[in-house]
Amino acid sequence: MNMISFVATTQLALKNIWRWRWRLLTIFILVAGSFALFVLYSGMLTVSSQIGVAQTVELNLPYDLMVMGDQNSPIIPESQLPTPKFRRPILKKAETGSSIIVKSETGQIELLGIEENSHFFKSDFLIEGNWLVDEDDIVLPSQMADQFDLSLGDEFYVYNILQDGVQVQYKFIISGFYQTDYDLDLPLIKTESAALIRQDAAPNRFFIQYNRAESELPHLVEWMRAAYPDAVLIYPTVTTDMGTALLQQIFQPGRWLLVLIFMFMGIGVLTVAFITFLERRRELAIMKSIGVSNGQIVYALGLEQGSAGLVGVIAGMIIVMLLGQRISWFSAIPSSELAKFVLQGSFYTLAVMIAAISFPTILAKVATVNQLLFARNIPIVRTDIDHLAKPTGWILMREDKENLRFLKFDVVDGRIEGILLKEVGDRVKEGEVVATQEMYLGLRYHEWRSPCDGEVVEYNRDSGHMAIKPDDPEAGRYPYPAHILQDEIRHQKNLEQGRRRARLENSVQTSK
Amino acid sequence: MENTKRPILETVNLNKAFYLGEAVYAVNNVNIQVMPGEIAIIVGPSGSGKSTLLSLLGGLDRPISGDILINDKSIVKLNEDELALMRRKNIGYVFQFFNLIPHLSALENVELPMSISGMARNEARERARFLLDEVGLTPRSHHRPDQLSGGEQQRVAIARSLANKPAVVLADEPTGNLDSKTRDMVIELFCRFNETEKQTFVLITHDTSLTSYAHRVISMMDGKIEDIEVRPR
Repeated sequence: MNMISFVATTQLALKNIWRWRWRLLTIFILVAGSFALFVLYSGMLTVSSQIGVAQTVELNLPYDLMVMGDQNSPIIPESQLPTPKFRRPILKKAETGSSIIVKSETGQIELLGIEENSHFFKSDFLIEGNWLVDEDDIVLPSQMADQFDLSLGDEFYVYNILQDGVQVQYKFIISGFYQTDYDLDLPLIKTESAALIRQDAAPNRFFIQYNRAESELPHLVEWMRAAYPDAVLIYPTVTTDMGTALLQQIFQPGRWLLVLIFMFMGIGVLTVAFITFLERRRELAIMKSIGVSNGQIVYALGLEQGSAGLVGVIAGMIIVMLLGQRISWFSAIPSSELAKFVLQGSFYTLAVMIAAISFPTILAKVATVNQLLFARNIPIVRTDIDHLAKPTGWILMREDKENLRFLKFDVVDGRIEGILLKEVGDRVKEGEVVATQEMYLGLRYHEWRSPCDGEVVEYNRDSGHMAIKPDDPEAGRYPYPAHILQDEIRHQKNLEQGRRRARLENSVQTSK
Repeated sequence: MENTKRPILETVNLNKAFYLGEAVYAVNNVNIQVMPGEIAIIVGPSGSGKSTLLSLLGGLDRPISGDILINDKSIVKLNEDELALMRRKNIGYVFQFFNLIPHLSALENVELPMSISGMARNEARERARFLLDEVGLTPRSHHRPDQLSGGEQQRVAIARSLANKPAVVLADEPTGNLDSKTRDMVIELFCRFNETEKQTFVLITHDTSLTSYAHRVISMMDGKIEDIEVRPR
């Protein structure tokens, strides 16, 4: 298409736009309305969601993350709990298996259960009293003793809140004080005592103290959720997350409405485009008959309907801006979100317009002038068939032995569902159509063509097989997979052997 | 001299069938030739396959077998786009019912084939004016088809068919819907362009009186060629 023909086609399209202005106006209104509705409704959902989430309050927790496994299952030893393979520093306390956070008279403290005779500071750092001997012995850091004025033999209570909310008290007797240069200031009890406290506490539950940046918490939550899919996770922002999830559920039907908006718009635009195509069949036929190429037709139709879609989107944007000034919540839509909705709306509109333009243009492209002119079916898919789609071994054996070429038509009750153009005894030329069939409301068209010059020697009305005897024995041979024929030959041999054997056995029995 | 010329239009064993409960051959093994500069008229009763044959010759429809040669080039294997380009260069088609583009004026209708084939606007407009003048429609050149009579529309269609100086003009019952006076005017037009521009015409008619203008008369019956009569020029 050179510049002159391009300009001529454009002028023709512009005249068509004026001629079909009411149709195009319908497309324009559909696009503009749907686009504006989409953007405004999306914005409304976003603002509503933000307002809802803003109402939630973060939890004030003494830990960063609590993982609550199945409360009714037996306690899983901490050493057997699945642990994500990374973030060892984060999971340190969960992994040690000996550290418990409980309340005591000093407030919230962390107890460390240790094995007698195995801890490295057993003798080195004990400055007063004895090491852990009995179940209720407790060794405290000396600074805690100073802080709370504690002495050896004093009772020291710790409290644990059970899963049903009941508070349990554990009594310990201070057996010693220790001091160390290390940053270790935990009360120490025996491992068995620690296990008892842990067992009393909610089973399959552990806490994670999180020492990293807060922004990493969502990643941690994500990981723990993957590691413990059935567990309940409690963390400070869980309320916000749950609120967001709840709002998403509430607004989900609204999002379907967005889909419906574009679905109705698509149906409307496609219907208008298709009806217009049907009314313009004659015009398109004339254009094709005077030599207008497919490219020019596609360009003209694309320009006509594409311009309606484009102007529709622009008008939709203007509607959004005008209404936005009158809607109080509009300014609360983040500009990035608004831009996203505009892009999404434009993308969906583009998809609908491509479909609306493609369907008529494809029909216009593939149709002959007479199909357009006389409103005949327009097959989008044309297939030329000159061999069997699913050859059977028996047919291929006949092709091989009797030197025939077979075609198979679709027949129902002995009638081909199309036009049978040749009969037994007719001469055929290579490539000549011997039968045609239209399918799927004429959108698909099959032509069976003779694979060779020859003569139609057989036609089976029941199976739809037509046999053509080629003039040249080698002509029109299709390379079917060799195994089909070989399998059939083997099958026939087996059959023949079986028959022979049966005849032999029959004759032996007769002679007896 | 005549025998040394190659036909401008030729069919070889041409077939076209429709399904009307059974296969009906509208064109059955047709072999015809049309020489350059001839007026060939295809005659036959209604339903004899004339229009189907002309559609096939113009590439408006597809045969089920056989070949069509225009200037020795086969057109049956061409796709729709190639056919459109072939028509643009080689074929002018006059429909029985004129088939002008309704929202374009007579002048624009005649100009369109030239514009879309890339002819300069001024040149195209000049030739369109010339052709409309030739068919006697200069005063009506800015009228739309619905403002023209049947005969006038047919003359615009003829002018349009001649726009790109095609190798052959195919006309389907060009006088079928016209009164006798307009019919004579149209036939005279064909003869004039045949004489002055050596334009080849293939016309279809069931009006046997028109055969007197023909150099070649092809008679059809039931889709088959019944007779071909070549007349000295």
